[in-house]
Amino acid sequence: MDMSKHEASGKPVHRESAPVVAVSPLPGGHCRLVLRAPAVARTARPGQFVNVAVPLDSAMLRRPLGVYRTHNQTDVELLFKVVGRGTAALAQAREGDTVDVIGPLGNGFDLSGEPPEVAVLVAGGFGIAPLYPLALALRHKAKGTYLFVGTEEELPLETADSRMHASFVDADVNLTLTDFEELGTVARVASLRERTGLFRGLVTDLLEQFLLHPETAGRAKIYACGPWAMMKKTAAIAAHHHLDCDVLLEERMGCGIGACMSCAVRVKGADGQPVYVRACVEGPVFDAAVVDWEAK
Amino acid sequence: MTCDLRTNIAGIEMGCPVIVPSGTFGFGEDFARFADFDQSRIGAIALKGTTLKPKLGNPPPRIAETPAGVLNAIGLQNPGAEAVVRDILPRLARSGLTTPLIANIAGETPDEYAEVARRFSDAPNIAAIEVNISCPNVRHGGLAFGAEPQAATEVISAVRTATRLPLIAKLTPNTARIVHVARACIDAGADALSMINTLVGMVIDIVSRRPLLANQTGGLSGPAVRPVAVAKVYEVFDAVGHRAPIIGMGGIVDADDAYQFILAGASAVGVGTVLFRNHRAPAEIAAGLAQHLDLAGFQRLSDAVGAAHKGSHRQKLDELS
Repeated sequence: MDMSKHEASGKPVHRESAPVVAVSPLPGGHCRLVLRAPAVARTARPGQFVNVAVPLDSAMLRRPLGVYRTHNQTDVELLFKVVGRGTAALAQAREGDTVDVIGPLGNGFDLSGEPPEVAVLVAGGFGIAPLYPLALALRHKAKGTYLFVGTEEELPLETADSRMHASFVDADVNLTLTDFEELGTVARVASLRERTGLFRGLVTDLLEQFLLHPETAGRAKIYACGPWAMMKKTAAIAAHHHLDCDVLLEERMGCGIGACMSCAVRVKGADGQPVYVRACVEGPVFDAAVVDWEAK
Repeated sequence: MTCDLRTNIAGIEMGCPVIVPSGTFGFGEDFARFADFDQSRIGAIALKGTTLKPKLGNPPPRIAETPAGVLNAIGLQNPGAEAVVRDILPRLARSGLTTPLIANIAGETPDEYAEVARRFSDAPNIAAIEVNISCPNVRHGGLAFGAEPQAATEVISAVRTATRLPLIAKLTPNTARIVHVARACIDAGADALSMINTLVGMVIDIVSRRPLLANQTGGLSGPAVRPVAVAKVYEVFDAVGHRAPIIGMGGIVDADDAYQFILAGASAVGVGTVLFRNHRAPAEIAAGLAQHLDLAGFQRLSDAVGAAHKGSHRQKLDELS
């Protein structure tokens, strides 16, 4: 495995008692939470996450949440789905409360080299949240940035008819995500059900259609975040097309800083033998080619 | 007046009676990423459990949350004794870390335990060896060494002959005979006891209808286990507390909890799972413990150790005899 990408990110971690600046429910049982956490906001890179504590009587462990956006180098915006006691407690936070947050955590996307000619972001459901800062970072760098989202649920983000041309899909597949379109990202949504403005099929079908289209085929780099099966398929498509692919893996986590070894990801080691590395330190972003996709 | 918190466990002088238990603190490097992490407020660091050969660990999921607790099954993932002694310990020494380090060792046979202990004995910055006797005894049907006095004796005796470092036996609560096991460990050469290790537990995912952890069962820690841990420390102190000091642990989140363990008979406490939500817990607990002891009029921590036994039925019998 290419260790240069997976060196333990022993970067400083900040802990902040972060006042809640804004909190609002989003469609589909999602929540948007903005925290004043300047140390995290100043240093967070795309693909990194924070680990947020909720009151002890709600949950013992912190909750790892991807950073959606930062504002004015002072605020961190988190989008999450309420799935259990921890996220439910977090969604109950009110303006003026403080939330105990540590971060930024994890390696984040590697943006140090030459930017890709074309960047293709592939998200399953709420996997879009950590891809937003990536789209922001790639703006004006990649010649073209695309986002494909597969979802069967109501999207928690604002949608609209796209004003950007997409030759690789029919003209009536034109629903976009406003936040991403504002960055110049061509965004399209896939669903297995017939829905107006959406591509009918799997998000990976949409990706394949894009990669096979003569006008858009080329030197693309793929970035993916979503359910395991979706990322596994995406990794296979990338390998088939000989394209680089980075995946952001979301694992059950303990400490978030590398001490407890809970968030194990099985990768191919240097000698070809399997080895478990930590999603919270060596990840959460991995080269799809080193992940053992049969491990789950 | 501030109570003297110094304590001595098996010859390790600790300025602070709060240690971080094995498995919650990695190999001592990760928490240093917090700018405000104060290692001087930790009595000792028990390093991640180490085996003779590198261990891959269990497949994920390895962790699940439970009411007031955490269930984990990491599977002793570690790079093996050789790599720890050769790479990690010198790095810790160079980093300026002065907190006493306790090597936590595991194995499948008494010989393997002994060999791991031997490797650590040559390291200049290991203060003591803690023997994790909760591992399955592979030669005897997988029952934990620590479940029976005889198997515990075999492991501790083997390690005792392999090293001159102080030995701490880490006791498992997953036995009906913890007092017998504690006595057997001391008889075989253990200088101190740490307790309790995690309780065996299971969570079943009702959607997949399978155990949630890939290992099926895991070790339960956190406040859920605290009353069990306090009871075990109380019971073991009552029986063998005069022969070996106890490091008490199990679900401590604040100074009140730590004080309970001291009163039950612990001479030091371990603060583990709570670190995952509060890395300042050891320092906060040490400060809070000093306040408790001051308020109660204890001049030294050692005066409070086992104070909950005062006037107990057992003690009255002792006084009569």
